Amino acid sequence: MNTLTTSFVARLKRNDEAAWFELWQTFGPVIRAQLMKWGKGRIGSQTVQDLSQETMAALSDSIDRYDPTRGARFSTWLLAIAKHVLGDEMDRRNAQKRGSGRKGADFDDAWMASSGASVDENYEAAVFRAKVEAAIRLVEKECEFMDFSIYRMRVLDGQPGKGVAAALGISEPTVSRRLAKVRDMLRMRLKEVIATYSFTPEEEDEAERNGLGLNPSKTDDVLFDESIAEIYHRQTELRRQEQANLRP
Amino acid sequence: MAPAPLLIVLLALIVIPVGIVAVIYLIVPLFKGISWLFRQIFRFIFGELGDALRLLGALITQLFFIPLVLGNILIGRWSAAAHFGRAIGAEFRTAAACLYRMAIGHPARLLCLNSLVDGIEQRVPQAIAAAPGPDKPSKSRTGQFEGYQIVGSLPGGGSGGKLYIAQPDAIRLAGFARAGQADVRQVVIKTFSLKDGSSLPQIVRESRALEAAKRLGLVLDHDLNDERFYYVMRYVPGESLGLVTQRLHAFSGSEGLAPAHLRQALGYSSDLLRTLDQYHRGGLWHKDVKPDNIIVDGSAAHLVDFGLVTPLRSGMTLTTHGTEYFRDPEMVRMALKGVKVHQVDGAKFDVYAAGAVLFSMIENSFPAHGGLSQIGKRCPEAVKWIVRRAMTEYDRRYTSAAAMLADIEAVRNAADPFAVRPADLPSMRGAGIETTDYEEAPIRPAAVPVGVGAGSDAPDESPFVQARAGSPVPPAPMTPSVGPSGRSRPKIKVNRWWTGGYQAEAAAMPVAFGASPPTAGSFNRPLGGGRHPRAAAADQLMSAQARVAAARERAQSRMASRRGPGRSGDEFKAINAGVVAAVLVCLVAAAALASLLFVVRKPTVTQSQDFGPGGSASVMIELPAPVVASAPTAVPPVPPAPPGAAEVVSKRTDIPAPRVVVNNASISGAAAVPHGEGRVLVMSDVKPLTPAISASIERLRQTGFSLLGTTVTDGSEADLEELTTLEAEARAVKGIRQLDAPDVSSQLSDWIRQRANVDLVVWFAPSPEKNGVRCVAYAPSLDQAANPAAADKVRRDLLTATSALRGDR
Repeated sequence: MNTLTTSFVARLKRNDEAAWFELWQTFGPVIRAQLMKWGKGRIGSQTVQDLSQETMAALSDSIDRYDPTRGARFSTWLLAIAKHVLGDEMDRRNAQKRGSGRKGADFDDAWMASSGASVDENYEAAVFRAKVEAAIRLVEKECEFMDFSIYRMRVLDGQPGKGVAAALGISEPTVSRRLAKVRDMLRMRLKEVIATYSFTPEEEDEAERNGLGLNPSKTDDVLFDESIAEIYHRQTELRRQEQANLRP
Repeated sequence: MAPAPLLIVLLALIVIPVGIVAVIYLIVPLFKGISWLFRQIFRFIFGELGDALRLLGALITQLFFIPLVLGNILIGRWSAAAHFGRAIGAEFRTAAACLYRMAIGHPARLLCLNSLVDGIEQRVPQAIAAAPGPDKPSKSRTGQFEGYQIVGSLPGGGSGGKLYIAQPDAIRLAGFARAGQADVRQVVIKTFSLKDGSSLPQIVRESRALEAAKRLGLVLDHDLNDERFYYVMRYVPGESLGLVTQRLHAFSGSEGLAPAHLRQALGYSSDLLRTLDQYHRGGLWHKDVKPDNIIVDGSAAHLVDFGLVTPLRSGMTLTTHGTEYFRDPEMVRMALKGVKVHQVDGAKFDVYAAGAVLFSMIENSFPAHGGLSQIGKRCPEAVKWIVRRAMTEYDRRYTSAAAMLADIEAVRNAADPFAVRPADLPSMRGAGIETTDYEEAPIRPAAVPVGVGAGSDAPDESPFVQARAGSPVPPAPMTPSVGPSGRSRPKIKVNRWWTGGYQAEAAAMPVAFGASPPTAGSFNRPLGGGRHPRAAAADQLMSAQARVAAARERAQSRMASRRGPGRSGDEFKAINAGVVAAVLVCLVAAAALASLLFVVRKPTVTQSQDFGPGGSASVMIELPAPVVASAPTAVPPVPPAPPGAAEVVSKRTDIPAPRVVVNNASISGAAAVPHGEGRVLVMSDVKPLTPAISASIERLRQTGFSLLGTTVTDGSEADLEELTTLEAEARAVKGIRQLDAPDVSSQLSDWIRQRANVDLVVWFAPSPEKNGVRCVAYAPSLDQAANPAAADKVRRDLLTATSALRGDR
């Protein structure tokens, strides 16, 4: 594990609320989507919200037991806890319904010894998209508003460079220049985010596998922008679905 | 013929595959249909069975909990009783849901009417739970508000307070008018009471910005005492912005708001920003801006709910209160880091929320992605820009609500909003944005209304500082006298260079909040915070802590005073619907058991009423003691009894009802009796007759019996002699024994049977107990088996006489 990861885990272990909020904001939607998928209509959106919070609470309880030397992926770590929380909830429900007095299962940390193989490809992809989204957020914070707006209009909204320049009253070369600036920053932040939330070398190579070359080159830039735009739209769709579920 | 077989083969080659395909196309859907049908039926059957079992289980569980509730009540464990009561409530709801699904849900799904009933079992309880409370508060002191007449209620929000609509009386209205609030008609009272479940932190939170809010005219009145806290706001009838937005989108279609509706939405946004600008200039921060807190009244939007309003310069730690998606995530981060309110610019968090509200109006949804939320519906690029600028990173968003308002107004007032480019916005041109100096901006004079409706006229030169009619925020009641420019800085003289302290000269003193002018010395503050006459953050914090401590002490002393040696009333707060239901069930069960026992015992009494051993029968009635005829009851008396006497006996509730004893067994009530016939010898050992006896005799006569006896006749002397003889014989039979002596009944019954001219004997005698009168009716002894008809007649006569004597008729 790299220093970013270990320092992040250390922050979590210290109960740094900001670190927990960061984790919640980044991976909350993924966990909620996964819980909703597992629940298969048996649990409502409100329960999913509660369970995702419980997942974080369980994470808080189990963080001290986490052993980085056993080689589990970060995403597996999250998934195992979410699964445990959901299973516990279902056990509780069954116990209440049948009066059998069954208690929730004890936390099983056998997943730590797993080979690091992916449990669910869709889930892994969602976790990766969440990391990219976190990087975009970081860039939004750090960039000038105008710069990020240009990137947003040009890449995320798919507007032509000419249109962006006309709307903002600047020249096209300025658009290109600022676009490149934001792209470079995004590459940098993406490296950091992936490093922070990756426990294994395999996870750290995810960016390359998903078309997000982190080393700048002219040919890679187009592919990078397209991949970012696609991931952003898929994340937006995920949020939209979540919104639809939350609506009464 | 060679071609024929070839043709047949060819035809077979064509027909067979076609046939197979046709069969497949027919049979497969058919089987699919059949399997679907079976699936539906099995789903219905299993659903019904499952719910029936669940219903049974819920009922059994309730029965199990009932004794637990009662047991815990008996041993005084109120909390446990309440817990089991809640469990009963939950089981009851489960049972009701099962019943609903069995009766409606599953049959409707069987008939493919899923859409008709989907989610009703959740929606209905939710709607019921969200309904407003009682329109009238309780009669207790905490339910009354001096000077206000409650006329309705509103659903409570998440703060735990209760909301009432009230009509101020003339004195209050005059007070409001003096304070510059002349057009108040109805008000909303938000009240928090410890008795009603509000907590001390809630009360402290809601009350801390009230003085400032009152100065701004947002709050008309407020009161805090040991028991409760309430504040009064102007009542704005209308709909929430969320509902209005939904309607606008319904009119416009799925692509997005039509230009007219877009202008309307931008107008609401302008109203909101203008209101927020007023807040910020007054040194306050709303903190809970969201569509549900914006009421649209006609064409203007009004910001309501001051539950989280916070002074911008507060020394308190930032909290995470607010509503998700409309609350800046940065604020949460800062709150988690323990940042103080005065260390941040709270106005920017309101600006974020205003951007989120604008997003929700454009998208008809909430910004689940925070600042990265994408606007997909039709919308001018400039408006998208404004939303993003408002919701972007804390340091890069609009510096004030006024700056955002300037941009909104530019789009709204453009001939074609879609033609406005982000580059055309005032904030991009670097013009029109006035850096708001919150502390020094004077509150507008009361005579000048502020705010604007969505449909208002052309823009002004400085739209964000102009004032127009239909204010969402009323003007401040008190206005300082300021210079022509509207702003004036105090002349300050720095007198402590090492700390930055200074002294203000009173002659040019600025007043931001309309309070009475402070003295020059009161401005002796460090330079960095010297714009406004307020205490340092540490002082404010200490003051707030002291207030909280004082409030806590008061609450504790109040609670302690309530805890007497006996049981205090607080335990009864634990009583909930489940507990009440359990107690009621037990009471009903006890009543049913008692009724059952009575029904079981009643026939034995009736049997003994017929005839006692040896065929004799008698009925003993205890009449009430003589009463003073002064009871002023107005029910018409039964003639010709003494006026009022009979009625007094039968109607006075303090007199016990006559008791009927048959063969030494008391019975209550009597069977319905027919019209009486026969001759009744009336004997009385009570002289003179009491009103109760006279009334009883009169009722006996009215029933149809012929009465014999010296006390009741007014006939000739011969008759009198005969009657005297008759009475003497009866007295001889009775002797000196008591009326209820065991052998008196049988001997008198035998005597009656031998006398042809007497069918019944009614004997009044003083009761040894209670100073009353005892009355015994004797019937002839007859053999029931030998002469059932005569025996039945005797029984009827006896019952009729008894009933008349008791006054049942």
